[in-house]
Amino acid sequence: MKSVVLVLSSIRWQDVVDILINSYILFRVYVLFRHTNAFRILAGIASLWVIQELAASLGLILTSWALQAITAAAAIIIIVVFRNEIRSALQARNLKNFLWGSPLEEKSSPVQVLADTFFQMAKKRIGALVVFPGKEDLRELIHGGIPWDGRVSQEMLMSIFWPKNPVHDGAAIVEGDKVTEVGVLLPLSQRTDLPTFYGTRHRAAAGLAERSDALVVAVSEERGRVTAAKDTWIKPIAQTEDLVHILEAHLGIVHQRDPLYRRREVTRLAVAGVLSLFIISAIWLGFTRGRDTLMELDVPVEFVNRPAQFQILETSANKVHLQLHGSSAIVKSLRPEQVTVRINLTKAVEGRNVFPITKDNIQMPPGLFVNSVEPTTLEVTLDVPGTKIVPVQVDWTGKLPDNVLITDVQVIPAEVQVVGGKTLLEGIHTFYTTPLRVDSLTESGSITAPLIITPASLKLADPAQERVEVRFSVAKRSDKKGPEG
Amino acid sequence: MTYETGGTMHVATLFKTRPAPRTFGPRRTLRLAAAVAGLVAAFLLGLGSPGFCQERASPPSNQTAGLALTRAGICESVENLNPVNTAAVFSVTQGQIYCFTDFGTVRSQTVVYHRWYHRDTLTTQIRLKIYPPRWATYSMLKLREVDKGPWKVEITDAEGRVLSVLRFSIVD
Repeated sequence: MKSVVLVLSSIRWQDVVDILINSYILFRVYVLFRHTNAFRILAGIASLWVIQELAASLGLILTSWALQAITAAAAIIIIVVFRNEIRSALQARNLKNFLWGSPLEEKSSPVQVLADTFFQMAKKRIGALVVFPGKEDLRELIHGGIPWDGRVSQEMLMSIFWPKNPVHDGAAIVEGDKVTEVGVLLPLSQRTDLPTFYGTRHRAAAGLAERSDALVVAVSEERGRVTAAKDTWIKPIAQTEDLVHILEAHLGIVHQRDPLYRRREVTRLAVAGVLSLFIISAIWLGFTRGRDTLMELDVPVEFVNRPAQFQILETSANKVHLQLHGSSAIVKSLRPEQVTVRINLTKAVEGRNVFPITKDNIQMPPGLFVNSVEPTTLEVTLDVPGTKIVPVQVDWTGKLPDNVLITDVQVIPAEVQVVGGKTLLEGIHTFYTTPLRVDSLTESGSITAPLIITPASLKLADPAQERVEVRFSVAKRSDKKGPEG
Repeated sequence: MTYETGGTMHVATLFKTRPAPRTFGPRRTLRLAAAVAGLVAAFLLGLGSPGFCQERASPPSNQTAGLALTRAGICESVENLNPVNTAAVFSVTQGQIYCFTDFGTVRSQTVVYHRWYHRDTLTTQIRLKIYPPRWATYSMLKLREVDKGPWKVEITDAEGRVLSVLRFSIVD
């Protein structure tokens, strides 16, 4: 009980927002995907994952391994196989509908008007083909539609399919109470068992119905009959009431009118909402309040907002050793680059600056806490850029042969211009070549040698001068000692 | 001001009496040596050439008011106030080396400094008195194993103006 109170008291407002947002996302996923095959498969995959975790905790090596492989493969398969369903579920007519839309508020088609219109058209021998899409996306099956977006009425449908209307040959698509597209071309059925008197219009109706979950109504202009096609069946409809029933069943309007169904649906959504909240809370608790784990990390220091006139001459440390703690799940998922130590140099001055490393300087994912920082302060020396002419000297090494005298050494160029921090340049008086051996020098000559430029922050104004020519004169040592030059 | 670090540097400026370079002890002895060096000097050497052989660097002005440096070089020894085996590279087995300077024009009594730097670190500064009308003088460095590496000697006047920079190396 005490630990529960402790956990509850440690919850921040950010945690509450975190849980609510993710619960709502889970709830919306359920609302958008329920009644789809993809959702059922998704639920199956989730069950597989739970079983796999269970198998892993029980030590069933092969089972957990096989389930893990199946889960991973199934996740990819579901996206490929059900891409149309997923797309139509995620396709929002508007953002509000996507975020807030309720299946109970869906606009229903004026079924009676539609049924009456179809039979009126049959009576007047006006041919028609109307598609009522289901949950599946039809875009890959249909072609050549013209956007219409007109509210459904008897007059409008009559005018669309009026023989002299340019779009009367194609199909009209009715979604909700609107005709969204006209002049649409449907795929033809290849079935051989259809009656011979079925023309192209009926074959198109059967063709789309058998390839999708849409309901297609066709009105024959020759025979004056209304025919409905869904899934694999296609049948003539004799009565307006029959067509109303078929349309209501397809559009789910029967259920929507039923108060018991509505109540059941509201209860189902409420349970889904509570369940989402429960699942996310459990995941959150497992994630953030799991076993407290310590972690040590060496993090490179980032210096930001350096005043343009300064350059960083020296820092007391380039890395900071951090000891962090948090739940094992967070620590385990942490990538080193997610943790940064940032020093703001906005207020830095020329010379030595000391910055304490506090929690404000450390950026890391939420749920992690700093245990200790080493070092606790950081010294940064800033300098103004400048240039200096520095002489070059040869660094001879090795054993000079006994009878040899190196009488003269000339370095070309004798001086180089170097760019760097002014304070740093003040301490630079000579650049030396890499050590050159004298052991084998028996006669005069020249060698090229690279310069050692330290510290690395210094740069030569002319990079070509990184190598210099060393000309030297060698004389044989004579026993006789006397004045020279 | 004359000072010494490590006891490796000693002063001997002589003319005619030409004492052998000696190892002087602590600071008191050094002051005495400097005084002796000031008294015993060379003049009218009759050698006009200022050119000496050592590693060449940017030539600082070798002439200040009333003082002209005509010769300067690092050498293995000084005999009869003449440098012997002036060079740019010396073996540490040599034992000691000398910085020889010859001032062709000295208007009045003054001092010059020989500043010995090992890898740009000042190890010793020797104060040497010079007298008109002409004076030659030198300082000496006793070589040790730790002295290996690049060196330079700055020859400056009493005001610190650099008259010449001599660069050389000590090797095995």
